[in-house]
Amino acid sequence: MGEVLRAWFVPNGSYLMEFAEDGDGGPSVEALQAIGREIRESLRPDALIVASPHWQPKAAFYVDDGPQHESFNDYPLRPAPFGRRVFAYEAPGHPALAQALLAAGRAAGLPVVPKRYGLDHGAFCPLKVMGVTLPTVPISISQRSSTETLRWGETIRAAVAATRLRVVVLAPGNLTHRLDLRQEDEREGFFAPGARFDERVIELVTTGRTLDVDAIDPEILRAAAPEAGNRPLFLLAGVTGNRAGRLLRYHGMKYSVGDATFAFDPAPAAA
Amino acid sequence: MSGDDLVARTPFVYDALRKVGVARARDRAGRPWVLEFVEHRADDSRVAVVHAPDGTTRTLTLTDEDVRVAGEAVSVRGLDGVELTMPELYARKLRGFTRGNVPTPDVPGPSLP
Repeated sequence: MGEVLRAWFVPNGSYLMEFAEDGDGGPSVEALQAIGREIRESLRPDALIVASPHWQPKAAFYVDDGPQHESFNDYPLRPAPFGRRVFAYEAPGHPALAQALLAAGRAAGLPVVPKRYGLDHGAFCPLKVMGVTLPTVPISISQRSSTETLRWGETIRAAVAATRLRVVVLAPGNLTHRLDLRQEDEREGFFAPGARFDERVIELVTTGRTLDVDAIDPEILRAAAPEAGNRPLFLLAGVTGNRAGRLLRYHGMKYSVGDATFAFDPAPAAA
Repeated sequence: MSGDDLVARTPFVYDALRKVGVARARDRAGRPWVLEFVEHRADDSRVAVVHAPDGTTRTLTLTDEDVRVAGEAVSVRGLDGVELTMPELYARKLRGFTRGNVPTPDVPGPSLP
């Protein structure tokens, strides 16, 4: 019987690759590198599923069933203030696991379709900083409802259980995500409405009430503009049986982005 | 060069204020074409306003299969006979965009996508 060994919500800002490359570290880089060591040295999974928050189709949940995945650079490539260096990453695919997800999604009546896509920075930035290269299935986070995203997560969990694979799942994203307020220099404080939102989400996730994120005051939600509309958290709730997350690190980046890292230990799958 | 100038010269940018992706390519004669992806439809097709070098515009509805990228070459259904090129780095970014990617914006807005 297959198993989701562990799942994480991690930051994915392309600047993290620069911090890592320059050896500057920082809270989020250190958290990602620690997860990388855990994956390489103790968990040793057969495969990895990564749901990029920058892959947001509307019609369906997409699954890349290709045998090899190359990165592409979907972040500004100009000089500062927003431009970034060009990074590259490549990982083998896991077509059999991808097909299992597709079949399970269809059987569950969900709009799940194959799509050759590759790895955008929402997927490859954390993997590159982690130093992890595994047979990988990229999936979209999609602009579907939180209810449907939760069901898709549950379906992924069941699909993995029906294989013989030991799998880890990564759903990158940021809590507050106000890039329009971004400052290159760190400030003492953090965008106050964002800080309040992040604090609330951390409380909910770490007490097993992730699904209540949908009940947060819409005005607070609008002000924080969380990445991919909190859908990575709903996907993870489905994948893990709605288990509480452990907050590994939190850091308000560049005044405008809430970098939170949560680890989730999935509930045992039903026999 | 100002930030606005940089954005205007970049072969593919995402403007999160307008929710528009803008691709700038050249044909075999070196003439500039601009494709503004102005709408992401519920079926994942994109509505693109094409600005041709002669000053004319046309509007196309494109699926991801309608925009083919190979190296620096970009072909677009509805622009038959027009062979466009852009730097491969950006051509790949354009391909991802047509397949559902929401890039980190070059022009940030208060919400995404």
